[in-house]
Amino acid sequence: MKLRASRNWLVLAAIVAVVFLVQGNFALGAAFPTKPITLVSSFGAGGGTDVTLRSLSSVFHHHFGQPAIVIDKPGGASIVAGDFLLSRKADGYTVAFLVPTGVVPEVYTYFREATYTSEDLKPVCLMSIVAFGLYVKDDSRFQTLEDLLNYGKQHPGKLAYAHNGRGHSYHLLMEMVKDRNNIETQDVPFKSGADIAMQVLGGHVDFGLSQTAGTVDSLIKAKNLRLLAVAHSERLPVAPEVPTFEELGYKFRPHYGALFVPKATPDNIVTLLREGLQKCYADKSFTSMMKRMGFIIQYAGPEVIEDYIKTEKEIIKPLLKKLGFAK
Amino acid sequence: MIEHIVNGFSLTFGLSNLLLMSLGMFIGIVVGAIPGLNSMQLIPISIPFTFWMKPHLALMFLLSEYVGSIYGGSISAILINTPGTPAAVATVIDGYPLAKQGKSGKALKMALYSSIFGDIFSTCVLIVGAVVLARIAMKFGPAEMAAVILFSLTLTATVLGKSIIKGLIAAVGGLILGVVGSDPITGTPRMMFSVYELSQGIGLVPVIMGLFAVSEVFVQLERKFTTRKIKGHLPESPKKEDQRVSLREFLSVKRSVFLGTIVGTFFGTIPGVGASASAFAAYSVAQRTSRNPEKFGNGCLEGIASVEAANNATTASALIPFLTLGIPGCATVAVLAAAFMLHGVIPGPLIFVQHGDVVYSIFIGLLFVNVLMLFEAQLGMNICRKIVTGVPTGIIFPIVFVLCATGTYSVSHSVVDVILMLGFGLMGYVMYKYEYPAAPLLISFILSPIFEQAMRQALVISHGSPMVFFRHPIALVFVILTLISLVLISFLIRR
Repeated sequence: MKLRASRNWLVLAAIVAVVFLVQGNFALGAAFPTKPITLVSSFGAGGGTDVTLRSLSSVFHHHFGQPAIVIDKPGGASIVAGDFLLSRKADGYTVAFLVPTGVVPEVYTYFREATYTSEDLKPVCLMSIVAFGLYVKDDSRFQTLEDLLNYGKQHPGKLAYAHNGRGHSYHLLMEMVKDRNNIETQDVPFKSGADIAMQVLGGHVDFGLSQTAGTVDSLIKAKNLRLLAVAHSERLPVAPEVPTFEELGYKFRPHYGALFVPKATPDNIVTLLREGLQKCYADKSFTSMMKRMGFIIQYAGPEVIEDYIKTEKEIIKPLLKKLGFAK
Repeated sequence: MIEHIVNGFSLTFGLSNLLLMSLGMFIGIVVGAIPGLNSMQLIPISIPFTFWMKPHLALMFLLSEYVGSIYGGSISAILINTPGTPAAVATVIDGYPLAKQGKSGKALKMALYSSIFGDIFSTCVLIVGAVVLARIAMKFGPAEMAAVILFSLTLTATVLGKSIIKGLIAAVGGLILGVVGSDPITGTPRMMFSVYELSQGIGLVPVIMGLFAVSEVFVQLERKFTTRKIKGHLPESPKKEDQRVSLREFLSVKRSVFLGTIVGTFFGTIPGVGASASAFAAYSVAQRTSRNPEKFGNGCLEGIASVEAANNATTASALIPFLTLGIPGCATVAVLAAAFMLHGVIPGPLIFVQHGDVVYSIFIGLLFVNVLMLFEAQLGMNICRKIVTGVPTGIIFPIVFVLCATGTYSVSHSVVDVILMLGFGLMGYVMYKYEYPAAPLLISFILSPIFEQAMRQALVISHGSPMVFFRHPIALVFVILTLISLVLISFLIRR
């Protein structure tokens, strides 16, 4: 009898709990978002990331019922944006767009001590894959990547190239290629892809690596710049004759961008964010805007990002160590 | 090309287009005039509103805001010693003293007319010589950039003020403040004292708002305690000719306007220099070539004219490398780049082929926008003048203070910036009390990070050899100009 009574109590408690939870869930579900969501861009205004997030924000309210505010927190190869994200409440109202260096900052401690690690972040979903390439001025003597590397071997330290920050994908891929071929070059960091294109155009550096969408794409079409190799899973429509790095035997992870929230963000909120974002990604007006600019928008769940994070720790970390960029 | 121009005309002069342009112009002037807010915040917010517009309409709307905000910045610079935008910092030097003499109308109109001249001239340059100038801009690599900035730094000597030593101390202070942030080559943090918000360096807006606006609030506060003034904030001269600019007066400063325009157009073409630096350069060029340089700083029309011609000339010429190469000439144009791309107008060498009509409608629109500015700015300045001449200081400056704080906060959504603004306000007040000029501090603060990055990039490319600054012809020219400038300064100091 006593047992039964307590069981009744238990059942009642369970019902109450379930009701509360469901209600809580429901309340949270209905209540999120009740105010605008901040999307943190990890690069400067007018850059690819900024444009992508602003385009996303233009369709955001159709699928979330609330607008999105884009703020730029450039610097530190997206660690600044990650830092900023973690300084905010873990309530799903701040979502940061981060690239690999900001996702797994513990791998890049040589360049900058971050206050957080990948363990502090919770991936929402993948946002974009950035195709980037190695390009030279159109009248350059180098016709293929091999030409360039051969010249580099014969003239150590002669070549200089522009990238967008040490420890960033463009720099790392090039350092990997250099390491494989025993080449020494100068590397010069610039602020943006447009700056890099400008330096190559002006002949101040021998070649540059940056994302191809936008400025570089139009300069290739106008025959001012010429691609030698592409860092992407497939060849680019703008230059179908140019091989990918993978075809040439250099395997590297994609330069991806993904959306993150702080680890402590409740799962039900993250699920709602994922559902809404998936709808945004499928929104015709958003996809057509992205297509016009040549950006590759791709939805993929958190498992894909976890996989990238694993690659970062297993492949990039040893590379950095070998190059002397790790403690 | 003729066909494009005709199409451009028909695209520009639609009723909806004119309405949108004047609306954009109006919003631009208002936002520019509000301390702390400028086109860097306005344009990203406006972009989503343009999604439904046709590309040429959307771009003209945004460009009207951009042009309007640059002029708007000078209204608050002249009337309340607070540059509404970074581009108007140099306008304060002569604009505010002239307004304090009761000639605010004259100052504002001088600023307007020279702005319009600078804008129209550099737009014409953009139309005629964009492709050629972009080629020249391309020649500016790190070594050239470093040399140009070094030269600009020596130009700041003209704003050093009465005491050269105090001016230099202020300038060095600015250089040091510009070093805070991340190392431009290694990306590692420095001089941040673990304040994470400083990793991008100290923001420009908190420094400007603090040094100019907040310090002026403190100065007025002190004055309020010592004298009991109930009248309007600014005196107004009853004489009519003190509130307008006669043709003869405008012609008397034509050299300053012209020099300002040339300097502004040149600096705008080189990506990364910006309107505030070009305005300072124009100011010192105008002062050095003027017949009465001693009048500069005390409400001199030539000073206002050169600065305003320069910063508006920069707006159009910053579009030169952008339209022809896809490389934004300044930070605001970088924001505009997003709008261009979203509307499918990809800037770059092919823009004239693919979107010729849009580009020419922008050109014609940019010229026409100045006509709108002539009327709308008159309206705006009269309202603003009524306010500052009618409302007592004790009411105006608390409002200015609140606007500064909210404006500063809105830039990066960070309270640290507001605290910095207050700190710089106190610093500006102390500097004012001990007669240290704020302008050299600010200009060297703006130039310091650009200079350091360019110099170190050049040295990386040259394997650490400083010869790189002498081997490149353009860099060499500017190094020589720098030396000449230094000799002239030491000559001035001795005298």
